[in-house]
Amino acid sequence: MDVLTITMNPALDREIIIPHFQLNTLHRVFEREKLISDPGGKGINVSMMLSKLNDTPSIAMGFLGGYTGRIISEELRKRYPNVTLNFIHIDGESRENISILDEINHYITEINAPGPVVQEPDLLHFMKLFNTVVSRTKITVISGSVPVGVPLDTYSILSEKAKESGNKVYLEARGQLLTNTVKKCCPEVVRPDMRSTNKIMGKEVESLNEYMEVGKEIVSYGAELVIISYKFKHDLIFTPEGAWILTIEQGELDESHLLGTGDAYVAAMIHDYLTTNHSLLERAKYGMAAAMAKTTYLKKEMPSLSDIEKNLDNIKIEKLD
Amino acid sequence: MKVGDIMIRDISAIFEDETVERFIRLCANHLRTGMPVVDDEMRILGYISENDIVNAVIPSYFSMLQSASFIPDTNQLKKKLHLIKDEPISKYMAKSVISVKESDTLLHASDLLIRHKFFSLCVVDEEERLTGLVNRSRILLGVLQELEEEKNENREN
Repeated sequence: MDVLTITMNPALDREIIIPHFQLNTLHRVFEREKLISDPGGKGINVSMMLSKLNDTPSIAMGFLGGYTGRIISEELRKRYPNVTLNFIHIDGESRENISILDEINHYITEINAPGPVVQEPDLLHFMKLFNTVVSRTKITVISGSVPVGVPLDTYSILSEKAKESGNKVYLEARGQLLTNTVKKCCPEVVRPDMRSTNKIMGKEVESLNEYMEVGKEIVSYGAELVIISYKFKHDLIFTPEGAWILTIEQGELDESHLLGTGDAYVAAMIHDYLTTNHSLLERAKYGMAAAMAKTTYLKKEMPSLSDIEKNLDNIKIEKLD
Repeated sequence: MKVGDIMIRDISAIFEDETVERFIRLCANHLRTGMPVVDDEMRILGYISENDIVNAVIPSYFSMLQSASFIPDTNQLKKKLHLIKDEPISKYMAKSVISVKESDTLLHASDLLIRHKFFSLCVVDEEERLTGLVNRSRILLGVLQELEEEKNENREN
């Protein structure tokens, strides 16, 4: 098994499609397909996408709690048989995100439930299990937020242990968690999560120069590859060799189809790492092509290899620095 | 069909120095009746089941009685569990574990399940590291699937 994904705070994503959704009204849903329950959380998403992409097996680790946690593991087990589960089932309930989609009026109503609190014995158990598993993998994906009870330096400890075992570490996170991990033990591949924030490493970024500075700063802490999404249609790529801007030349991106694009990006880069010896820049381009191909779907779905290939020609690379 | 085709890829496991209380809580949260006990390389050292703990907390003469209802002191169970709850599970686990490989046949796995009166078996890789579990219902489901496939093949011919 080559890939280990970490999801400290998994979620059950429930989507209910109700045309003409109204408050204070009874809505009956007659088709089962309009009630979707999907395991979620960034690491789990990467595992599911790898499974769809060329049947790449992976081990998924983290914490699950209660009834919601059991649905998450049951759905994973049923639909993604080559994802090996290694979750610790703790007290409390896993997160649940409910969205009611009204495609006719273009309304989305969202209800997000909180996650469980992780107790110290659970965290210790997790750390021990992590050490046991990481010695057999090549890539560790650390992604997403942490639940209450998990200290902010946890990702840097995981990153350090994974590196010691010879793993390449992929990190996608935001806020203090990202800053802490980059400063204490910088992963090889860093992709700041830009959803609902314009801050990276504690700094607000707006102009290209500000983005450039922060990208170079992350490289200076030891990253081999830093990918920052820039103004929707671009990605900024930083390596110790320089900086590039990747631009989508053709095709419209549907902004309402962004769910899971970051995870498709990471999954595609891992697939590329395991199957080719592309340069880091080509690898990032491959990830971007996958993210772009993903936006043709509304749902969180991995595009096929041929869809990714098709999008490769739509991406222009320019050197910045 | 092989064990690898129908197994449950869940490698939830417990370490031998974890306490009895921890084990009980993990099982309750995970709806499991037992767990493999592994070393720090994921090699199986034993298997601990709730049966092992129940046997440890009820007095040994219970198995000889038809009913325990006339025994006045129900606190016995509490007292005994209180005594052992902080002890390591290594003390109560079964140390000889029978496991199967992903390449083993379903017949071989069912034979082991029946012969040893187990409900599930650990699945291990070539280096004896845990890769998942297989239980009775998964095997039966696998056989049903095979039957259906054969039926479809016959129809096509």
